[in-house]
Amino acid sequence: MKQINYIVFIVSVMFLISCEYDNYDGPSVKFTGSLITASGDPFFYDGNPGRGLIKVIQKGFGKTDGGTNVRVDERGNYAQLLFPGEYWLTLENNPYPFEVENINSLGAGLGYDSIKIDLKSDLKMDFKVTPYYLLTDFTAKVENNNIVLNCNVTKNPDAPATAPKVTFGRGYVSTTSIVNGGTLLTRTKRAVITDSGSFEVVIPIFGVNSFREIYTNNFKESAYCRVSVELEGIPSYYLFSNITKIENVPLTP
Amino acid sequence: MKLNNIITTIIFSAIILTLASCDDWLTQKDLTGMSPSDAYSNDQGITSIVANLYSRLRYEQDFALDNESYDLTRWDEAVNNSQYWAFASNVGKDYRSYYDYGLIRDINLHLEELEKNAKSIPADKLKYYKAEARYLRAFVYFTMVTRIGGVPLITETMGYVDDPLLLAKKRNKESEVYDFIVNEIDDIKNDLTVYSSTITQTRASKGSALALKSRAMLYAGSLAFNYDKSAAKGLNLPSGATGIEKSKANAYLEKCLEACQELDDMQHYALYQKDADLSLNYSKLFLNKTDNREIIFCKAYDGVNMFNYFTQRAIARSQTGVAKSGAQINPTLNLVNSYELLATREIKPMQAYAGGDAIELMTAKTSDKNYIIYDKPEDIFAGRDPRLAGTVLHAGSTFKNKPIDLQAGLAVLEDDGTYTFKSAQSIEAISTANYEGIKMTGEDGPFRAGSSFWYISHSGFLLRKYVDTSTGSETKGNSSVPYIVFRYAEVLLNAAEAALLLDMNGVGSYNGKDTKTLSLDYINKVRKRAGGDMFKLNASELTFDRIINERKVELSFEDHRYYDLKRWRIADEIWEPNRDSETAVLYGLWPYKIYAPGKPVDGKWLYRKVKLEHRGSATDMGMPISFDRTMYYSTYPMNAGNLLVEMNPNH
Repeated sequence: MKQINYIVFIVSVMFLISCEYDNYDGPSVKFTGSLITASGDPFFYDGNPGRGLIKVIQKGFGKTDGGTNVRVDERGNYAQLLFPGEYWLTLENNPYPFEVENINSLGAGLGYDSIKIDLKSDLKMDFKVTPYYLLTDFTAKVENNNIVLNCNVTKNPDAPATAPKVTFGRGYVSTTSIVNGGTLLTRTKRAVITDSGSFEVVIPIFGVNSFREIYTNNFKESAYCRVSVELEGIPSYYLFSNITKIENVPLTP
Repeated sequence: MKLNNIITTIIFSAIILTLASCDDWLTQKDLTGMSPSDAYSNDQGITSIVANLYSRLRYEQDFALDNESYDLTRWDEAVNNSQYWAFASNVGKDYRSYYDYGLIRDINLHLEELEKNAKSIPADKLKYYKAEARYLRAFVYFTMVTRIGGVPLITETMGYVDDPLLLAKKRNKESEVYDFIVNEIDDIKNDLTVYSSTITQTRASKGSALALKSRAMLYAGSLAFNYDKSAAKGLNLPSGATGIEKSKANAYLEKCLEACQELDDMQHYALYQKDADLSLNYSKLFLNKTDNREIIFCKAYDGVNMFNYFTQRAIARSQTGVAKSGAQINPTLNLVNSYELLATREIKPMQAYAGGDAIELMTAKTSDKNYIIYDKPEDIFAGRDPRLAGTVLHAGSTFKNKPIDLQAGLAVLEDDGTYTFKSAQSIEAISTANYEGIKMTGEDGPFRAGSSFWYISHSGFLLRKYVDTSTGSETKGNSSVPYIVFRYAEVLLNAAEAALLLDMNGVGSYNGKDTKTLSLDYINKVRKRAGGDMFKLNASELTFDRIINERKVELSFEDHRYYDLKRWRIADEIWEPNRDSETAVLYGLWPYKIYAPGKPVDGKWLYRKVKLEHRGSATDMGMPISFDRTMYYSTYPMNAGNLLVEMNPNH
């Protein structure tokens, strides 16, 4: 009996003292912030995790992984846990329909300026964003077995004169409040638009690429909607409206 | 004491002797391998070394490697219907990233050994072996440059150094790699004469070198031609590692025409023209190995030592030989719609609906659409480019003298004029399921119901091209159809495109011939073989869109479309992931027999255009194809510490 006690004691001690040096703390520094417009309002962003924007990179031997992508959500907020250290902050190498203050493009396909940040403790950083176009008066309604989305698009007076023209308007409907092209619960449809002004996107409730086709037995009577506009020569990254909820979506045609 | 002294002396002497003895003690003859001088002393040894190099050339869609044909069904020619179809999903920038300097080193080593050790080989043979190795090296560089852009040109082996960074090389310009390829070929082409009376199709030959020159120069020329388009999409790096200056376009395109001319001067290669039935002729071109002068370079299979699984994977369900195989490669309506009308040469989609196109869901059981009614199932495909029937099997086709049984179900005509669709509810029930005594679903599909719906057509089409008709070829990789890398028709289409681009670039003539006429001559050679004299284009019909379409149909399933759309810089437009897209979403055409006893339409046929679901993932079926700007150049490997390497654009 005594011997067992002895063994148990030894084993417990071994657990307590065993190798502390091959465990390390997880990332603990919070890097947060928002995208805001010139007037200080939130800038509505895609939110699709596949449409990264901000990325932080550490440099050094063996650091060839391309950095950490920081996901920006539908309301333009981001939050990322990181290890303390020195980082270079930049934008992913894509053309965007907006400009981010202090981070300039190095030329088509060549990426963007980077900013050095020294992360020792939590850091909050907002980015002022100048979209080339403004989306206003977004409305969504149910009409004749369709969800009809309307929105005005006007050129941002602060945007550079060389801003590309608009080519497509897109409408999105989803069964959840996460509405973007990357979630399976969203259906999208596109309309050709050629100039500023108002545009309309009609998404069917029944049939191919419809709200009810999002999943089998979709009996939701409410839908979350938003619209976006695509600019010429800027694929995948669009300018987005806010998200609104509509009720009384019919269950049968 | 004395004894001790003697022992000490002996031990001391022994130690001295050990230290001083034969200093090549560590150098032993390797009895398990051959020394380079042995291996390079005869043809057999050299051939076996070269066979290894050939086997390492990269073809994603060859007939052995990809056992489920994921890659063949990656883009818009077909969807996969194996049990694992969901793997044929969208890909990202890592797709086809290829950086095989192991192979380059082995080829360089082979060249060096040929120089050093092949003393007993006659000079003219040695010349061939060296030229062959340089052809292979050019081929590997071409494979790399079409995927990841400019790569360092390494032409000799490197030895060991303490600091590996001394060996770091920066990327050559994309144009320099193409220049290297064409210079190498021009240098070696006349050394590639082979001794046998027939020109080889499976080893390097003058023809295969010229075909590589033709393709490489067309690619380089079209990249330069599309420089502005590339710039708008951010695809030109300032270093030149990707993108080729506009000013170089004409020189490259002329070299492409030169390659075609040199090939014609050999007076060996010709289009395959042996059957009066043009569809049969086209399908036999890929199956016939005896005196087929269209094949320039291919990878051969004997079905015994080198297995070829293609037929096993692609053959119709009703003719399959092995469980869990067959009907895996399902051509899409997107491809079928590209076959022109033979009489008018018009590119017109299949006519399934009266008054406007429609898209339906496979699962929809009723429809009030206004269908066009056809007497026989094959009537909707009548009057098309004969290559359609030579490439795909559709309802009403026969294969190996057996009818192909493609029927999605019965369309029951209701009193109010709408249709209700009836089909088998499980794959096991297909042979017995009937409605009012009439069989509903065909043995070959198209079918999608129950929990198991693979190894049967999904799109309403099956593949005929490359599918072996010989007995037993559908089992266990026993097909011996060759995988064609270069064939004469491609060289002609390359030349047609090069001549048209020259014309568009304002170069009116080449070697005294009008470039537009030259382009027309080349494309019409291929079209005449395909559809006879009436199928030739006239000058006003020849636009660049025709080149795009001609390559799509003539070279379908030969791994050209992905590279073509990339070099034309339109892949991200055609394959923009948009659910409304007619080009990125894939469609099928499902045939139904009409059930309406006592009514005139009874026993006739209608077709439904359906969105194909077997693409994407199990949770997002029917996902559109996605190709974005990061995918024009695949990921360039970033080696830790090598500061000279440059990432590809948009990465």
